[in-house]
Amino acid sequence: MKQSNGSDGRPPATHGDKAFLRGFGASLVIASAITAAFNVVINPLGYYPTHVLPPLVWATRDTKVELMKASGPAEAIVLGSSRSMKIAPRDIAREAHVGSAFNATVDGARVEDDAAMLAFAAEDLKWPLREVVLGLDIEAFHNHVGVDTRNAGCSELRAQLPIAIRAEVFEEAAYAAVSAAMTRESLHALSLFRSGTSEPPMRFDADGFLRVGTFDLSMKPITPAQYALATSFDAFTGLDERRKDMLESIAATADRHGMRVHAFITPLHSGYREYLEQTRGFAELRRATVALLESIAQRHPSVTWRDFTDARSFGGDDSLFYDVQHVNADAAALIVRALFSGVSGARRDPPDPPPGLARD
Amino acid sequence: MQFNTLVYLAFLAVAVVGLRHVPERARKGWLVLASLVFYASWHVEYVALLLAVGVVAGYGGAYVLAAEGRARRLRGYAVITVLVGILSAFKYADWGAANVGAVARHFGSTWAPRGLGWILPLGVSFYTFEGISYIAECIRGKEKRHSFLDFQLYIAFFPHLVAGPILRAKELIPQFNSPKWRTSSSETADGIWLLASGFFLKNVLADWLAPRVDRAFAHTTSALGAADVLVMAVGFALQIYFDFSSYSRMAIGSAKLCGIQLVDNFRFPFRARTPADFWNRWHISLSRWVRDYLFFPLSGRRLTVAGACRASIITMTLCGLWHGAGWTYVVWGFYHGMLLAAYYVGRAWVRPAPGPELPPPHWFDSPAGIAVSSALTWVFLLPSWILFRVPTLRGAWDLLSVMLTPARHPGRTLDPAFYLQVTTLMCGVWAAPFVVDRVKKRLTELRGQSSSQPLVFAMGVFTGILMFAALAFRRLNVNRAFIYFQF
Repeated sequence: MKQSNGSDGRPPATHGDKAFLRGFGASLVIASAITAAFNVVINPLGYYPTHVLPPLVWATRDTKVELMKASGPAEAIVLGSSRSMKIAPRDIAREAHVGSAFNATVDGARVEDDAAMLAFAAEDLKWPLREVVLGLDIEAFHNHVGVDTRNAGCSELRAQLPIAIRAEVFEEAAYAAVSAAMTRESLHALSLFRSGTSEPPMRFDADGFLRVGTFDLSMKPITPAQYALATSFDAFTGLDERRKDMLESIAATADRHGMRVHAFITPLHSGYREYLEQTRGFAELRRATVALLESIAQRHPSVTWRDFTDARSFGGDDSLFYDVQHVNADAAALIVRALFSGVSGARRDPPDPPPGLARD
Repeated sequence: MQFNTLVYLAFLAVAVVGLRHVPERARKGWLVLASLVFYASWHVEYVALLLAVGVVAGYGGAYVLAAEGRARRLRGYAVITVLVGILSAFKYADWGAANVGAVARHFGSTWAPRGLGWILPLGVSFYTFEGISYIAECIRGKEKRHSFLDFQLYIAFFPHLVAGPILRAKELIPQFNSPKWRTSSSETADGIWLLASGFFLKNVLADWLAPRVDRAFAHTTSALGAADVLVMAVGFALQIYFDFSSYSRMAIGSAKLCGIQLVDNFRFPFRARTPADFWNRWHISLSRWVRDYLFFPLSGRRLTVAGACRASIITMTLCGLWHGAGWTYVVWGFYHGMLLAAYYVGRAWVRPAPGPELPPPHWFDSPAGIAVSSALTWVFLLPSWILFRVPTLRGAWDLLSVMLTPARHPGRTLDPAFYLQVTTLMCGVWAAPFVVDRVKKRLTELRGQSSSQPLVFAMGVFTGILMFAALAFRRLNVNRAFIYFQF
C-alpha cells in the first residue's frame, strides 16, 4: 500500500506508527515461529506427523486402528473411552453369540470419536458388524470442549470426521503448536528423553482388550484427592447439540447396516458421583443424557440403552473401581452380562432395568 | 467464526488486504460480501434474515420519509412493528407459548400452545435494534434515505454485526461515503492494539475465569455460605466484563483496520459511582439506545423525578427482556430500573432541582465520597449479577437468600484460591483506569516524535507479545463462545 503523506486525506503516517507495526510484527512472528518449530519437532502429544521422540501420551487411536487393520473382521465392536477399555471382546462374543468381537475404545473418546471409529470399521474395513456396545461417558456430550486434537495425528479416523470438525481439529493443532501447555509437554518429553526414562507402556491384546493400562500400574486407594478429575466437568452446562446429532448418526448407521446398538452410561464411583452432584450439576447432566438416550431409542429400533452410572445397577459395587471413573475387568464382565442378558441373537426388546435405574 | 480464533484472524486479514486493494467503487461491495460470508459461517440460512431486516428497515425508512406529520409517525410505527415482530418471532415466541401454557395449566386447562421452535439467529437483537433506531430517526426527520448497499453495509458490517456496538446509521454510513475513507498506519496500529488486548482479555482472563465461576455456580445452594455467593457474584461480573469488553475491543479494532470508527462500549464500569453512572460505562451503545428511544419518550418533555422513575423502571425492564426470553432477565431489568429510580429520588432529596442531569454535590467528589459511592454502587449491583447468571427465578432467589442472610449462612465452601483470584482481579480492574490513562497520555505524546521511536517500537513488541500470550495461553480444546452471542 502506498504510504500517505497526509495530502490525500489520510492522516500522515508517523515514524512512531511504523516502528510500532515493525515491533508488533517481528515479536509475534519470531515468538510464534520458534515455539511452533520446537513443539512440532518434539511432538509430545502425537498431534503432528513428526516422530523424533516417542509421544508422552498413549496414542490409542493409532494403536487401535493398526490392530483393527491387522485383525480379521469382527461381528461385534466396543466403542467408548478408557472407561470401557476393560470390556473383554471374548465376553461380548460369548454373550452375543457372535464369532468375534473387537474393543475399539480410545482414550478421551467423545461421541464424534465413537462415530468415526464405527464408520471406519463398518465402511472402510467393511466389517460385518451385528453388535455395537457403546460406552458413553456423560462428558462425551460436553458442550464447551472441542474435538480431541489427537485425531489430527490419525489419518484413518480423521477422514471419518465431518469436514467442519476436521477443520476444527487442524485449527486446534495449530493453536497447540504455539501453546504454553504444549511447550510444557515438549520440555517434559525432552527431559524424559535425556534421562533415558519413559512412561510405562499400555498393552493391548490383538482384539483391542486393554491387558495392562495406566490404572493397572498405578493403583492406589480411592480418596477424595482423585475428585480432581472433576475438572473434566468444568464448564459443562448442557449436552452439545452437535454431539447429540453425532449419536443420532451412530444410530442411523446402525439402522442402515442392520446392527444393534447396546448403549450404556459408564459407571462412576459413588463418592465421586455424589461429589459431582454437589459441585458440578451432575444430576441434571445425567437426566439430560438419559432423556437423549430414551428419545433416540424410541426413534431407532436398533438402539437399546442402560444407565450404569451407579455400579449397583449392573450388579457391581465400589470395590470394582481402579479409580473414581475406571472399572476393572470383573466389573466390565458384569456390564456385558447385564447388557446381553436374555439375548439370543434375534432383535429383542430392551432389557429389564435394574431397580430404579433404567429406562421407563 | 469467533473473533478470538485463528480462522477469524485469517478472515480479517483477507478482508482488510482486499479492502486496500479493490477499486474504490467496489470497497463497500467488498465489505458487504465479507460481512455476509462472516455471518454465513454460523448459519448460512439466516443470511436471508439479515438481508430481510436490512430491506425492511432500509426501504421502510424511505417509506417513512416519504410522508410528513402524523402519516410519517404512523408509517414509522408500522415499520417498527414489523421489525419488533421479526425479533419477537425468533426470540420470544417459544417463551410466550410456554408462559401461556403455564397460565392455562394453572387454571386447569390442558391447552398447551406450541412455540415456533426456531433457533435464535446470532446477533438478531443487535441488528434489529439498529434497524429500529434508523426508523425512529426517520420519524424524527433526522435521517435521510440511503442506498441499498449503504444500508446493508450499515446493518451487516461484520465487526459490529453479532454483538454490537449498536450504532446509528448516521454514525456509520457517512464514514463509508467519506472521501477520507482510508486506513492509515496510525489506525492500523490502534486497531492491532485493540485486537491484541481484546484477544488477551478473552483468552487469558475471561476464559480462565469462566470454568472457575461455572464450578462455583454448579454447587448446590445448601452447600454455600453468604460469602461464597458474594464472591460468585463478583466473579461472574468480572467474567462477563472481560468477555464482553474483549469482544467490543476486538470489534472496534477490526473496524479500525477497515478504516471505520465505532463507538466505545465500555468505560471502566467498575469505577461507577451511581447506578446511572454504571449505565454510562457499561454496554454504552445499548444504554444510549434505550435512553434515546425509550427513556426520553417515556419520561415526558418535562423531566420530573416521578417521570424519570417511571421511565427508568419501564425502560430497564424492557432492556432486561431484550437480553433474553426469561423471567430472570425481566426481574434483572426491573431491579436495575428500581435502582435507577432510587438514585433519582435520592439525588432529588440531597439536592432538589428538576432533571436528572444535575451536577453532583461537592462531597461526592472527595476521595471519601468516591470510595463510598463506588463501593455502595457495587453492593447494590451484586444481586443483579446473580439474576443475570442463574437460569431460574427460584435458583436466583435461593442464592440471593443465602447472600442476604450472612448470619444464617456463615460457612464457606468455595476454594480459598477462588476468593483470592476474584479479589486480585477486582483490585486490578479497579486500578486499571489509573494505569491505562497515564499510558495512553504518554503514548499520545510520544507518537510522531522521531526521537521516541525505540520506545514506540518497544510498545509494538509488547503488543506482539501480548497477542502471542493470548494465543499461547488459550485453553486448548475448549469452545467458549462470547456470552453476549446468546442475546
